[in-house]
Amino acid sequence: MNVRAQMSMLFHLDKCIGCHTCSVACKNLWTDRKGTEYMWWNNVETRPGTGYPVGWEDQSHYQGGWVYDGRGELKLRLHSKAQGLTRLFFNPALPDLEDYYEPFTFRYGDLFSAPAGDDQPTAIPISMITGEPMNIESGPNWDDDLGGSNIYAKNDPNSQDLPDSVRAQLEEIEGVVFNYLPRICNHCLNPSCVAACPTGAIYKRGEDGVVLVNENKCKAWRMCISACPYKKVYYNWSTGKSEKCILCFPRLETGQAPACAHSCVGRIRYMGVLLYDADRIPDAAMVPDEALVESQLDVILDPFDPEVIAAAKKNGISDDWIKAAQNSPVYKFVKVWRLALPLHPEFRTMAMMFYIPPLSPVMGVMENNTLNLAVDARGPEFELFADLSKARLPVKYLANLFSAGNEKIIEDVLRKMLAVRIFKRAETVDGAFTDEAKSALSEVGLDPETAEEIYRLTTLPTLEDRFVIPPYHREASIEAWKDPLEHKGLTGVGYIQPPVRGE
Amino acid sequence: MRMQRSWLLALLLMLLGLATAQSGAALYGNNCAACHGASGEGVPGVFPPLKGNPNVEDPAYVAKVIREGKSGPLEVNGQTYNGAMPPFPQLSDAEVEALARYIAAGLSEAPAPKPAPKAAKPKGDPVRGRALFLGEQRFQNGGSPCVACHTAKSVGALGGGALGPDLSDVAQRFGSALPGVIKQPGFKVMRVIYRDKPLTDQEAQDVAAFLAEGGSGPSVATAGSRLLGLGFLGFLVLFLGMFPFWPRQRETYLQRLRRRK
Ligand code: HEC
Ligand code: HEC
Repeated sequence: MNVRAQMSMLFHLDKCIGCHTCSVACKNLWTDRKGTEYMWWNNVETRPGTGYPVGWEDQSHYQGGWVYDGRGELKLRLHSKAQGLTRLFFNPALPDLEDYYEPFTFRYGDLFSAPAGDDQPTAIPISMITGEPMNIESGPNWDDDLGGSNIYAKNDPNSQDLPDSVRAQLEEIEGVVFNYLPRICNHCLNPSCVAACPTGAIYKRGEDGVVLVNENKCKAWRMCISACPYKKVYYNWSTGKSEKCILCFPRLETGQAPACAHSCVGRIRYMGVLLYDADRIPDAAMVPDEALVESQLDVILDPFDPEVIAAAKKNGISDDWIKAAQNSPVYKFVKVWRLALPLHPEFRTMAMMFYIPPLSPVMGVMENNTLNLAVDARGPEFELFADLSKARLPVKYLANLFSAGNEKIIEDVLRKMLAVRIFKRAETVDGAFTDEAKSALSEVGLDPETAEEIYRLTTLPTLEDRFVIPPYHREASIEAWKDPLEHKGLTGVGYIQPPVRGE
Repeated sequence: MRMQRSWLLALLLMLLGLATAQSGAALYGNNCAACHGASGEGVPGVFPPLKGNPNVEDPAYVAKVIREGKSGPLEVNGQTYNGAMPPFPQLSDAEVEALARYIAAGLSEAPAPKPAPKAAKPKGDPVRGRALFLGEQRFQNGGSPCVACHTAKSVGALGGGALGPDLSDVAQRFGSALPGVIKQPGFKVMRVIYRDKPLTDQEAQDVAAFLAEGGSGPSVATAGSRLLGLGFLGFLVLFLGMFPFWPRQRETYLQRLRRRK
């Protein structure tokens, strides 16, 4: 057993309102620089939709992630090792700027300097790359709330294998449904960006599993950009280096949650430590698609198991990290309650950001020219609990997103969430733990205490409940290589290369 | 018995003396005549004469030059020279001494100059010479082809290398000394390059014949503009070749979606 720690984020999609506050917080903090204008380390997509960059999930086009040959070997989809050498200067799988979008701003000065006239002056859009006036034709959330759905939602790679009747229903106004999908770098356990880098500039750092690009080593081959199936590594055209989400490690190291999580108005994000067994990764990444979620969750260890604790300590994981792993909300949702799933496990990078799939309303039924929404008089949750095929967002669609097509896993998660809802509704509306609630809970294998705990962590968590961030002990790592007093004088605002007087 | 012995000794000494006398002239013919001329007359401005040259009356000086070579400016009878002469480490001490004495004496024994064999050698074949110069045919000892560093007339549109001087008029300047110059070049760079891979006599003759022939190739100046023209033509051909493939560039995902719509 080779125990390591991973800082992990969890997104409760049922709570996301798609406000993009996370994206803006991230943008202001990290990618408001020359060369990064088009980057959104954190972005929010509307689903069904094609996301950002357009169609990133379509690996037949973008060639990201791993492929399992079924015979004990995992290969990069992008290229074999030999091909990697011969195609060093030829990497056509890169997204085009058009696939992201041409970043723009507005000439606000015109509002003040325009001559007097009959019309209101307008601030015309300006390309942030050329500085020339431009026509805005796309953006990082161009298909927000199903905008342009006849192009974008229709071509969502996750809905391509739905039955035609279901797809037709999704395009009807009565059947329309969407939810939001916030995305950051998944800080994977088996990152294909790291594997594809010819210079070895990307690494997964030891203490918390954050995947970072060493800007001094990066030689701009851009293989990471093609190899990342989530398209979460970006190329800075100004510095000629790749950049990506750093999980706000400078914030984590000072005890704060990442900016996206901290600013989330829906409080959908949770941060916590997961302990995992690094030795089990290869086996877990090489199983058939349907078993991927299970094998990945198996890699995550029980932080209460004395054996795990001993092995963790042997690997230098400190007591407070183990304690943080025990209190981790992510661990509870992912492993204890089995409510959260990785995004696209079939990419086999073992993404370490987890998602609780969203519930959706009951599919509308037309009766005598009127729309009958809730057929079950007791409420829609009973309707859905009995038959999830009535959910507006097809289970198969969610399965394509979160469980490599395994619908059973999604059904289990959704039914658990519905059972908690039935349980709490009985309590607040009927004022009792009704038989119906009892049978619903027992059907999904929950007891009332656990259901209460799920409810509390879902709806009423405090900041400390949501973000369980262990102390990073920078002092220890500083001591390891420098005199702390000397280091103290070297931090803060300053220069990497100090300017020389007279130059 | 004693008498016999002294007689033998005398015979030996005589033979030795004869050999020395012969080798002075022979050595000159084999080693020096190529540059300094069959009778030591030299080539004005290029190789100093060794006959009637006041500098060489001292055999020690001559010996030093033979052993160590010589380069840098010098003046002989009002004519200045600024070339380089290679050293002759292959000559033994005795041979150097003999040569030095022979030259200091004003090539006085005036042996029927040996360079005759050189002149008598079959004249070089300019066609083969051209092939050797251009590297189409290899030198027997593996020396690099001259075109790597030199250009000359009629070596083709692209011309030769630019490290060494243009050899178009070299035949006029060196005259009959040219094959010798080629065989045993005294120039710093070439000396080094051909030290271990010398040309054979026949090869030197052939290359010299080619250089003497001259031909009516492009001058160096026009070769430059020709090179430019050829480069442009190549670029045009490449571009035209790429043109049919240009529209088949990978379309972006967004373009694909919009087209499919
Ligand atoms: C590759 C052509 C070449 C050959 C072969 C050659 N020399 Fe020279 N020699 C020269 C050149 C060129 C100079 C003039 C050097 C200078 O300018 O400093 C020279 C100079 C001399 C000088 C000095 C003349 C002076 O005025 O100071 C002597 C002596 C001499 N050579 C002797 C010989 C002898 C003896 C041999 C044969 C062993 C020989 N050379 C072979 C090219 C040659
Ligand atoms: C490595 C490059 C190189 C190669 C190969 C080479 N040369 Fe030279 N050659 C030179 C250089 C450089 C000079 C100029 C004198 C010097 O500094 O050595 C020169 C000078 C000469 C000269 C004297 C030119 C003058 O105007 O004084 C002749 C003749 C000559 N080379 C002939 C040849 C021949 C014939 C060949 C082929 C067998 C040849 N070279 C191969 C570099 C080269």
